[in-house]
Amino acid sequence: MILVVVLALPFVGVDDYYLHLLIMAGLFYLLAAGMNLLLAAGQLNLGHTAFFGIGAYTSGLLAVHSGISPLLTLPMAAVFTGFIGYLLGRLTLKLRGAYFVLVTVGFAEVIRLVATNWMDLTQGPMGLAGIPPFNLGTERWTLVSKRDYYYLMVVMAGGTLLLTARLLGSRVGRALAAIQSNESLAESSGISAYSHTMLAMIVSCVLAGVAGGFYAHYITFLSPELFGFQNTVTMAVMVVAGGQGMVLGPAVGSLVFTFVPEFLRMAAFYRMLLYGIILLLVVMYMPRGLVYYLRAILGGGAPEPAAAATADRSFVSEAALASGGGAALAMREVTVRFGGLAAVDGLSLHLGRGEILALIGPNGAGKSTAFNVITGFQPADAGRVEFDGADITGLPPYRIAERGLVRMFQRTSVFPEAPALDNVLTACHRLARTRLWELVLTTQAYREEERGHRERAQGLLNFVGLGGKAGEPAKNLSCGEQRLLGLAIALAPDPSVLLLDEPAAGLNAVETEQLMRLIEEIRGHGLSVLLVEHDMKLVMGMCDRVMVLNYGVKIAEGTPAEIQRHPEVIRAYLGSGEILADA
Amino acid sequence: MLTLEGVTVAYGAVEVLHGVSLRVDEGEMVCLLGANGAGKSTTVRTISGLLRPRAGTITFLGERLDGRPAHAVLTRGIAQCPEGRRIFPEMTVRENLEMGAYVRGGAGARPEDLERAFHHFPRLEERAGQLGGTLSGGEQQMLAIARALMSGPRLLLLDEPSLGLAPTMVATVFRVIREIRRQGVTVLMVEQNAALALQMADRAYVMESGRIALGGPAKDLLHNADIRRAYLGG
Amino acid sequence: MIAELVQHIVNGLIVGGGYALMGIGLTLIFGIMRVVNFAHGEFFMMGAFFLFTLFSLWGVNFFAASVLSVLGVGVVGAVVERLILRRLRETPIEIPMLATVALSVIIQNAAILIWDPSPKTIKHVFSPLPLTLGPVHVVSIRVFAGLVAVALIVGSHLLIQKTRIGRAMRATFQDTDMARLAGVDVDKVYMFTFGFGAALAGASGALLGAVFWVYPAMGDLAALKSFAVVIMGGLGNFLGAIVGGLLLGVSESLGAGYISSGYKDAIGFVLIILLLLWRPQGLFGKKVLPR
Repeated sequence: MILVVVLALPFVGVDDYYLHLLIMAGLFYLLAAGMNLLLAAGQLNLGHTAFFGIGAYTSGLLAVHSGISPLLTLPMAAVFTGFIGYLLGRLTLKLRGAYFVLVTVGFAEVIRLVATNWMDLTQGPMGLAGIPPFNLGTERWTLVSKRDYYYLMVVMAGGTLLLTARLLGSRVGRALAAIQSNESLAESSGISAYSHTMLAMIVSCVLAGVAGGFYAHYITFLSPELFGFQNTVTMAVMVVAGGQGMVLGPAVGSLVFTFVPEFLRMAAFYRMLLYGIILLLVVMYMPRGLVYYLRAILGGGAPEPAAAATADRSFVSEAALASGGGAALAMREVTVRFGGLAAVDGLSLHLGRGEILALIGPNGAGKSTAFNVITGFQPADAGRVEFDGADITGLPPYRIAERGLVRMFQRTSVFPEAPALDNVLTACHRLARTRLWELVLTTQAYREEERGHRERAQGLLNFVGLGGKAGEPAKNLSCGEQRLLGLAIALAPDPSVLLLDEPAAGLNAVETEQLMRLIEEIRGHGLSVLLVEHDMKLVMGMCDRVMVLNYGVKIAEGTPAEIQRHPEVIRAYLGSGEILADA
Repeated sequence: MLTLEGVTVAYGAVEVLHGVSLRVDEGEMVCLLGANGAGKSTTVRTISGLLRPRAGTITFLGERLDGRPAHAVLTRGIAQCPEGRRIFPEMTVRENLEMGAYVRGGAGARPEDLERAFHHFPRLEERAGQLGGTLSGGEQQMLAIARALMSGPRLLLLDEPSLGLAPTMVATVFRVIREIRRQGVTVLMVEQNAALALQMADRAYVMESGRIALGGPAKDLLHNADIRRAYLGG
Repeated sequence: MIAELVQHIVNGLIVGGGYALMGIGLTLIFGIMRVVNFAHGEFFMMGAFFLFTLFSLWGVNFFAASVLSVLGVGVVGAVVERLILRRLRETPIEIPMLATVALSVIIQNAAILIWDPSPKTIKHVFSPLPLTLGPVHVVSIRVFAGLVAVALIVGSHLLIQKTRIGRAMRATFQDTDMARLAGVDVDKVYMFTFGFGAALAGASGALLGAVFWVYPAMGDLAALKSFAVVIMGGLGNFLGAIVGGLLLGVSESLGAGYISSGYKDAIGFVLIILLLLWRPQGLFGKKVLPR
């Protein structure tokens, strides 16, 4: 329906002026869609117009100087822009938040100055004129009318919509959202923040390059104005006002904010002023964007019905459980210092296969630090960590997770904004075998894999008893339910060793019992579990061995019964009145 | 002196305190026990005005305090010494103490208050010019307590004062807490070292999953089997 | 040769003083409030236009007009914080950032409507003859600008180190919740910080506006440069902003003198990119461990 309307527009009396506006809206859509993709991972590129300009100048200059057809220069420009995006990404994607924003702003400024000053190449402020329009080799096939360009833009914008919809609707989109919402948890679920933001960066730059190339041969004149901050502001407005992170957000935003300034033309003098005021009002009162509020008004956006999954389906693959003896996980003489203080001091630990080992000790004893070292979040100053016999010391967290060593965090164990099912689905990431192109083309194999993961996620929710809450955003779950969801997330990547950081914190007695049953069952599937816990009922009730830390040093190790009688443990952990005696 | 009546607190959509009621009388030392995540710190942070209760009332000396910002609570005479040796790391010890007297206005701390702080903690006087971040853990905890006392509070909220401290340091800190009490300051303390806390306190409450599970005179609770089980299992 | 070099450095230091003032304002606002202020250039521009209006149009005494301009920008900043940014606390970092972007569009276009876009000069009260010290020649308005910049930098330092509100600002910067518990009214600190940061930008604009030109878009480049200054010096780092500002001023002056005046404005960003190559993990980025 919409497609028919879009295609019919030039024939139902829409004149060239409005076609031009639609073309410009489409152009800005390409730019905004790219910006939106990167923003999905929480990175705001306020230098995006630089890539638009680079694409435009590359295609324009190639066509002017070498006489190659724009049909070829445009893809060349797109590839080149993507490459520049890759280079900038290598330099800046490790930066977060404000630093990334400011560096991209600066990058655009440098490029603008180069375009202004490199007279020999760009003709500087006078602008580059005489760029050939699109043509298919001969004069006869040159695109001249607005209508021709309009259809070309429809194709490009449609392609962009399709591409971004596929990316954002797939595991890539889930990974990007996960990186934005909780990067540590994403990494510990086997998602590489760097390579995903890089993918978003490159795709967004290629789109900008395409937009630039199109612009060069449509307008046939370029000036360094293209690199102005104003352009980036326009794109950012379209993304945020339209609805960031949503597929349709930039599309709606670019349409609305191309036409709004035109309607403001009656107030020509006040146009930009009103534009600024509209932006301010949108940011203040509709920070989630038009699409979000429209959807809320229309009552749509209901979560898709959860796939009916078999509850008792096994969530552990045989492959995950490497056979053979030896330790599943071992720390050897690991030391971590903060300043002069050793938080963990020459600690050795050994977790047998299928074993449940508890690490206990007073707050500040070094348990969380030990977890951070094992999972790659904290470099060790000395010592080694071995997993399945291989040295994993110093590997980044997502690599460790990929190997099947997965952790559940103490406080931030979920992705708060996403529905429960998506939380678990996101963490299935490392099990994906299909390639990026399969995902974009939505091949049969990809669809089956996605369905399989959906079933697995639902199965895991059923397993922890949250089967009925699949569509509920994680932040609306109770404290106890969030812990259980965290457990399902940790199980999703099919680990062979599970690290649980205070899983029972904040749970009531009934929930704790339920958690204990679940952990028992998980062990029954052959997983090994290392847990830090304060709840002694859980520790003493279900662990095979207990290790006690104090001041980063192991002070005792043994069965629960032994530990409960250990005088030093009682003193360190329960505290004693003795201190008062000498006070 | 202080009364909490059905105090409910939520982070976003998730309720973490479900109707907590408790009472601290003038001159008392009351302690709040319970496992990690039971809601002890949340309770204290709500009293001091860092968190707003969703429902319920907090009354101090006959005046409603719920929903008031932290600086207003402090001027009414409630000072909190937060968990984890929180001090201003890039200020000197003296500046940290002066920060404690911030609500008193004017140029800085009263000399007699500084003197009292240094009397309690002679170590701090030795290090008066040193940056807070360079102190040892125990010294930082002393500084945090001394800072909280600088505003001359009538009620002191102590959140886990012994957390991560070496035993000798714990002894020092508790000796000072005793001294503070002797001078007439009422204390509400969150403490994980249950045995120690119960020996010092007059009364205690035990929290579980955001509720008060148990309350009574400290001497009774010290021998209560439930407490022992909650902490050591078995 | 040496004389020329010294001349470039002196010129650079004077302009760098202005950059440092901008940078201090920006870095304080970011450090304390976690807001990247994209309207910073507009506060800069407002300082210049307030001075132009009061002094050149209304004939107020130059020095009184300067002081009033700076205070005026400070008040605008405080009002902006109270009415807009205060409502956007607890939102993701890009939301207040975009609000300041919107604000910058609004202020700049309002300025075009009020004062028209043509560049103006402020016919200040100083003699046009240069002061000569050995081989170095500096016109007196530049000397004045340089001295005032130094005075304001020192003044800001004293305010932050020695006064009650300064202490509250430092406390809020180091640990916001702790500051609350110490009795600091953090809302007031935020309002003051934003007003103070805006006033410093306004002072910089008034000084450099008196030296160069005054026009509504003058803040664009100034804002970009202050971004460069704070990235170099570290977001939230007071001393870093001063060093970054002076460094940028001097390297621009040397760059314009010895390399190319056209690329002078790119130097700051090239420096940043080199710095990033040297420290790819970010300049002062600290990793926060998960819990």
